[in-house]
Amino acid sequence: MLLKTLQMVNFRQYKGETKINFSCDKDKNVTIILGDNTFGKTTLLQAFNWCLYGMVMLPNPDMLLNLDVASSLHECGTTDVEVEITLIHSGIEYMLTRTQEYQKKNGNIIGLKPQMRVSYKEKDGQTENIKDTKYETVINTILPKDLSTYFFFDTERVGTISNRKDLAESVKGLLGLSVLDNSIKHLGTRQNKRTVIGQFYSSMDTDGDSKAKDALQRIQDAQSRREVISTQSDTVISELKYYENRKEQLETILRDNQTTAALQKKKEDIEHRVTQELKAQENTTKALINDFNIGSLHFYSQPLLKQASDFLHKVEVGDKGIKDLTRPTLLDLINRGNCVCGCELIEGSDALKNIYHEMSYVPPESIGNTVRNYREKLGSFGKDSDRIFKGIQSRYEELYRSKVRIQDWNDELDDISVKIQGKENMKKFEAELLDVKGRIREFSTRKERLIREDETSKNDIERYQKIYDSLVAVSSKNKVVMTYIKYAEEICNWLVSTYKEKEIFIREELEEKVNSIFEQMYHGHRRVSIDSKYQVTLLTTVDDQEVASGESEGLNRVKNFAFIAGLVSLAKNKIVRKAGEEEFDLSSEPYPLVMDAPFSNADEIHTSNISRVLPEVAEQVIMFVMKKDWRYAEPVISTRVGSRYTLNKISEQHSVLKGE
Amino acid sequence: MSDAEFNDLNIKKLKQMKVEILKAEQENLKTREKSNDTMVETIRKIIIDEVKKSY
Repeated sequence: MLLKTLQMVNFRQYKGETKINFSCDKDKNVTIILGDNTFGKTTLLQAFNWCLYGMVMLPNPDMLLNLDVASSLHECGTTDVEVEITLIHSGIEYMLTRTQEYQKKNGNIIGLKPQMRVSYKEKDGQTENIKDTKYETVINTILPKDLSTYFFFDTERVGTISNRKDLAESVKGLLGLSVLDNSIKHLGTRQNKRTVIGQFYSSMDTDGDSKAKDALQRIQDAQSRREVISTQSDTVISELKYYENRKEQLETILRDNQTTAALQKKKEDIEHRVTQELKAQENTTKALINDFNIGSLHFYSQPLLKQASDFLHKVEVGDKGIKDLTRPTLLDLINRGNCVCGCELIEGSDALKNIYHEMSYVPPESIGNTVRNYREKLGSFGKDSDRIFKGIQSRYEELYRSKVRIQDWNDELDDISVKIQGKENMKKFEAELLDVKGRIREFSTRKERLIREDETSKNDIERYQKIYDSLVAVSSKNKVVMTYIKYAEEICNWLVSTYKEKEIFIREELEEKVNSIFEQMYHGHRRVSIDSKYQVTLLTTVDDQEVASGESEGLNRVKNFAFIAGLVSLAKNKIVRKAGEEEFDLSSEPYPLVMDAPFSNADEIHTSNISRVLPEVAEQVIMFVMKKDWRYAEPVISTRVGSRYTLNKISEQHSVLKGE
Repeated sequence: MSDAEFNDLNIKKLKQMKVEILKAEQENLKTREKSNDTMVETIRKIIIDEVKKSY
């Protein structure tokens, strides 16, 4: 397929008529449209999508009419938006025109149902129209919608194109494997009732033979189970593969960042120690306050008590009185009339005289005893004071040491923070690795269980098939049906072996092609690997081993460009298979690459490398490029440019395309 | 149909079936007109018609 022209009338900011002639020259197969952001590059890409498939991915997609034109419409006035593409497919020139009428009603602009016209030029130059009911079929024949995203794509889509879920199906379609794959699926198996072989098998005459019917039912049930198991297995294998890849990536990240990880661990240890130390500090402070509350009286009264003690030491006390004896005690004895020794205390007795004598040694007549007692108590009061002082001092020293320790640790934390600044948190990766390992174990167990269940179902099928075959092979009608089955199974086996042989060959060839292109585009030492689902992984060599490597935005873009270029290049090659007397070309038509802002996020060298490779591998290249990127692309691609335009922005609603 | 033909498949018929099935699949891959069930029916018919032919 080659794109010849794109013509737009009042389509979004392209006011009036705008026409682009694409270069179809084999040696100058590049068309460049230069324009900065918001100049209308994406609208050009969407014009293709709207014309071909009736869809646009733009803000306000229901309003395709140019806003200047819309605002100049009178009430009840009408005008058209139109996009026309002319292209060559399989040697025939097609014209595809989509038109939408807009009407102004009650001040509102309303778009009516778009109309599509498809026509082609006969060899004699006559134009033939294709019926309305057939135009979708024709467009699908030219470029199926699901494959179009590989040839008409914007910057964003380049980033995800090699990780799409439907990638395998699309690649098979492009490389010609879908014909074989679909044939195999439709022919099917004896056990699947919705396939050719399954329907033949079910149509066997089992009238009156309940054993045969029962055996067939069991075969079909077991097959249904196997299909469910197969779907589950696919999911489990794909999950397992994803987690194994992720495990390798995480191990690489952790291996590459061992120092950072060690520093992060040390930082966490120190932070933990600081927290513990702060808690201990708080407890010590509380104990210090408590000690102070209890012992402050003892401590602060010491100077006063010392003065009192010094003074009292100078007092003559003597040893005349009985210790702790008081005047009230003696008066009480006199009142009772008896001494503690049993003597009667009567007037004039020696005992009473002695009591009165003792009174002269107790206050108020004498304070000797009191002084003696007071001096003894001062001694014990002083002892507590020392102990409390030492306690408070020791706690204060502990607090001081603790603050020094925390200060040292904080200094160390500052140092570590500077060293690991801007590096990712390795603990996050360690936790993810642990989780990933757990999931790998879980999916491996599930995979083994599914294999066992599948084996059981397979054995059931074999057992009941033997029973069924022996029961139904007797009638002549069944003999004919068995012949159909034989032919169908023979064809199916041939298709399966052809498919296997081609699939491996194509995947290897694609991987080789993508790697060869990747080497030309990428200025580093990495390789691309393509798995059975056509998912693309970047590999890097670590200690003589290839491991999946992380991808930056720029690298991912180069990888995907290499993949698309490889796909386009391989799709150009003919895949031919001999089927009977005829040779079968299984491959799709070569397509042009239409790209919106392909170099966003790519650096100078990659832009230059990609520009060099794409015109070599694709049949036709159409690029909408920003002027800043064009500086790096122009020196390598200019000799291949056959057509060049520049976009000028007159206003937000009006862009003009100028040919050079 | 002879017993010999039942046991040994007719190579010519087999080749013709392969060609017709692949053509039908390729056509449908381009046009996407036929559903899965319709394609199964188409292939079934190709096989039955070819077996019935006598060369």
